[in-house]
Amino acid sequence: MATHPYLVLTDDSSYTITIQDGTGALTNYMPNKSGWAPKIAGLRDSFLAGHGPYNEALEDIEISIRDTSAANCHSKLLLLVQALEYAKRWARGEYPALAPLQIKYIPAGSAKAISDPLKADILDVNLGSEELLGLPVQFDETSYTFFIDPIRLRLLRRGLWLYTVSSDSDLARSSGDLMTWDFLAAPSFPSPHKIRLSGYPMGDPASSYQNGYIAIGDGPNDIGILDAESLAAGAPYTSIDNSSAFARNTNVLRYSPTVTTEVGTGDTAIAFETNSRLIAVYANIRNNSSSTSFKLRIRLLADRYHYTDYLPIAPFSGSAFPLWYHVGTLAVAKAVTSIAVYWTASAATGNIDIDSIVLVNLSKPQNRVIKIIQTNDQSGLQNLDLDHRWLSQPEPWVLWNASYPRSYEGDPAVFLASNLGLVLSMQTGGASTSNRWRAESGGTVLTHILTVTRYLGFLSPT
Amino acid sequence: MSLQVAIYDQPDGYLLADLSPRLRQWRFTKNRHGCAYFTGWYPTNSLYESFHLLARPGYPHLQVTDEGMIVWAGRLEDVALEGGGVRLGAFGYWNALSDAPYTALWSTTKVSQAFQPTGAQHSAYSEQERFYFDNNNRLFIGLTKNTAYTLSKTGGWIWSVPDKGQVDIYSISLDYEFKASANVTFRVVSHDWSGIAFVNGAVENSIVGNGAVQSGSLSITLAAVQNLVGVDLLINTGHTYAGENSAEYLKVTNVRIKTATDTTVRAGTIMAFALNLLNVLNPTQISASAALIQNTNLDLRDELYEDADIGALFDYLASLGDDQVPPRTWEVGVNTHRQLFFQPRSATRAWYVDVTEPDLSRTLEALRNSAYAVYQETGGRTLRTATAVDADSIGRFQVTRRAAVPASTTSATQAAVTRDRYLTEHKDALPRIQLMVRQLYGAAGERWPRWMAEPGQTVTMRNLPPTLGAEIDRLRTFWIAEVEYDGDNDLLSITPEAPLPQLAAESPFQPIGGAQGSVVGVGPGINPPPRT
Repeated sequence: MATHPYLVLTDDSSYTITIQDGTGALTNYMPNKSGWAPKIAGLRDSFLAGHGPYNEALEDIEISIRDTSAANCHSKLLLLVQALEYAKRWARGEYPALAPLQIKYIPAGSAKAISDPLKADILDVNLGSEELLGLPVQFDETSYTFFIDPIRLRLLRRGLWLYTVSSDSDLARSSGDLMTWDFLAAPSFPSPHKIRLSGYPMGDPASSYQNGYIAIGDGPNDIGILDAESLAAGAPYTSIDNSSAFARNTNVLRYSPTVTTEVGTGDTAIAFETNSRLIAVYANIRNNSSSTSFKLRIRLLADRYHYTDYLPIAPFSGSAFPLWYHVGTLAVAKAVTSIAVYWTASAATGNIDIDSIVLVNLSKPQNRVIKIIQTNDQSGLQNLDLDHRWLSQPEPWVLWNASYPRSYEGDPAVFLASNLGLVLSMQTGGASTSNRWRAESGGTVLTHILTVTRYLGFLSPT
Repeated sequence: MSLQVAIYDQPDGYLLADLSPRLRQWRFTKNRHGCAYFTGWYPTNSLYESFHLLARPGYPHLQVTDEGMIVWAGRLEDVALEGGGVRLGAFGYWNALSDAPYTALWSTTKVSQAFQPTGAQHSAYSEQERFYFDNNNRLFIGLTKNTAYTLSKTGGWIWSVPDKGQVDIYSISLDYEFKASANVTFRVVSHDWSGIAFVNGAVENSIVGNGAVQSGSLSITLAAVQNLVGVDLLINTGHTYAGENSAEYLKVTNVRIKTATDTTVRAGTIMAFALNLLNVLNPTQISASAALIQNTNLDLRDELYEDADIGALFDYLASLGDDQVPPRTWEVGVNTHRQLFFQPRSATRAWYVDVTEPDLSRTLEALRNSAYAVYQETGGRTLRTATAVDADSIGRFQVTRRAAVPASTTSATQAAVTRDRYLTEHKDALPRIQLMVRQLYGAAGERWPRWMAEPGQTVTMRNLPPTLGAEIDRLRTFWIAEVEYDGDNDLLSITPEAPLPQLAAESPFQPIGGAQGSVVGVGPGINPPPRT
């Protein structure tokens, strides 16, 4: 247990500024008697991605540099300025391979060990000023006082304090099936989680993997999957065996139009989070016609019927293959109980298939759906990381094979609040053909092992 | 739920930069054409980084995404170094409609301006100086007294598509009255004219004179599409004509030339063709998909465009209405998937908001509850339709305000549709409102993200009590004309629909006169759409 506060600025490499060492002993960078206590960051108003749910906190710490000689004071000051200059450059992205200057803190009386304190990246120094630091007007008195006092550190840090990292993994799951993790205990606040999927395919021009989505749910029911063929109830909606294209649960829902007006299925129940009030809908769809275009609406029953906007699906060119689509996002007033599909065909000919319909609960701001874009410049099956990169780099990224940043749409800075959750990889295409409902190679649906690594986040120091 | 702002080399292409962690002062707008404008600023750490975008060729794709849903998409057109960073300005893909002008005939009936006598530059057999011509509401060719007519010589009227036009002539229909001896043959001819006099055109139809009046109607699909079509009198036997001037003649009326293969020429079909032209030119800009292009059932009889801005053209086509009574309002734009949509306006979403201090006023400036359309006969004379009124509007406002609505057509039916659609749009005194919205609700009170509101949807100020007055129902709910989302503060600003200017000003495609060749072109003031 720390009997006294522990407060250190360090990059764990070249710069360490010990303000309080946790034992109460004098340091070269003593806090002044006016004292200091950390700020509690507020909830961020902007929905802009890449920041996490909380604002930054501006810490204002007044210290004095003390040593046994003026020269030593000046050298301590030099080290401090070097550290602050490094922090400023890191925040600007000038050190893409180096760690940030962190502020590490343990309040007095905390049970935390000095070896594993609360940590936060320093994002800016002396915010609002062009100077790194201001010196006291009596700076020249250092020659005989052997201290520089006061020095005011104004440090902008990430709003969440991060503490201890842990990981959990799931068994290997097939692409298109839910993956799960469980840390047994939930964090106190939405905390940064790194999501890793093993065996994620990237394709060069010779392969046929398509752009896919990765959905992340912060609860056991936040992602719902419906095998679309369960909506089949006779012509024009039929259940077709498409196991040869690795349809999930072997079959797909086929609509074979006989009219050009809208025709819908009946309602089918779907297991989904009952507290969800904002729902994103996705489906993998294959138009088997080279001439007929279709428009899709999906209807959710939640106190009343809610329809997505029309999603047009063009006729195929070349050959037919499935793709995942974001069909729509709907707000509802009560729990969703069932789902139906409505197609409109441009001609009474051809047909169109749906394999799976996925619902994602967006009522929780933590939940994520990220689109991974195939740019056909790498190939293979490797780890895909959705990495917030806190305590590492200023900005999050999507990394493949530990070396290649990938193109994506969405927010890879994932902050989750539950102890357990779900991940779903939605991807079509295969190693040699695009006509695969689920990512496939060598005649087998790909499997992924999910590994989730999280820091516990705190707004207030403990 | 989070909004990512990123730029790519093209849609679904390489990620050039995820701007989200650094972006500030960002906002975007949407108008009736879809995504309109995006602006934002982000700091850079070096001059190299600042110039990275500035020096990059082409138009990177800028996109705002919410969990797989594209909220805003456009192309990054403006990059400025400003205040130690980069200021971005992106415009929606509606701007891509201005990437190329459009030249094409789709249909014409205007004989007085479109046709010209066949000259030596058209046909080696033309002897136009030996015939009498007039095109006063007809195409007339008459023989002249005591003129020696040479075997195989002709006198005729021809019409050609605009030079470098996108489509060629598919059909011609006409009524004729023909009286001549057996020495003369009435023909409908066509040719793929390259600017050099041709010897023989294709004969699409011929009727030999028999001394009596022969009359009837012809509807001819050309054997092959051509860029020139005409009617002429062929001297099939050389002779000296001794009759009175124009006692032997050909009179052609009710002419219509079409390049479309459909029976009717419709706005959606024209849009799909023009769209395909753009997509061939720039495949990564606007999608070639026509899945969201519906069609009015209005037959457009006089549609001829020369070097027309495609965006302005689409606005014009959308303003023409349809065959419904009353004509529906149609909307045209480009959605976030870069697909062109052309559809009757319908409230796809109805939003509800609470307002504390509405900034609201009502004006009669744009009110018009009585109107007539101004159109042309084939000979060019100006005609006016009967006046239509909206009795309910006149009774409510106790004043009749009448408009003359220009209609670029020779069809009284189409002119009447134009008149009725104008009346529908202008019979109500629309309010001027500016709303700042902190929360968007659905009909059952469900809460929606603020960036989901779009033009073409409706908004109701739900907390205004119905007892405020008789006018309240007309002011409480309105169509959204424009939205602006402030990303820094998560604020939405809604502007209601203003009176549409489409039919209030001169149509950009009015005929501008001229006795020969194709004449309908880009009118004054029609430049690429101003940036919004």
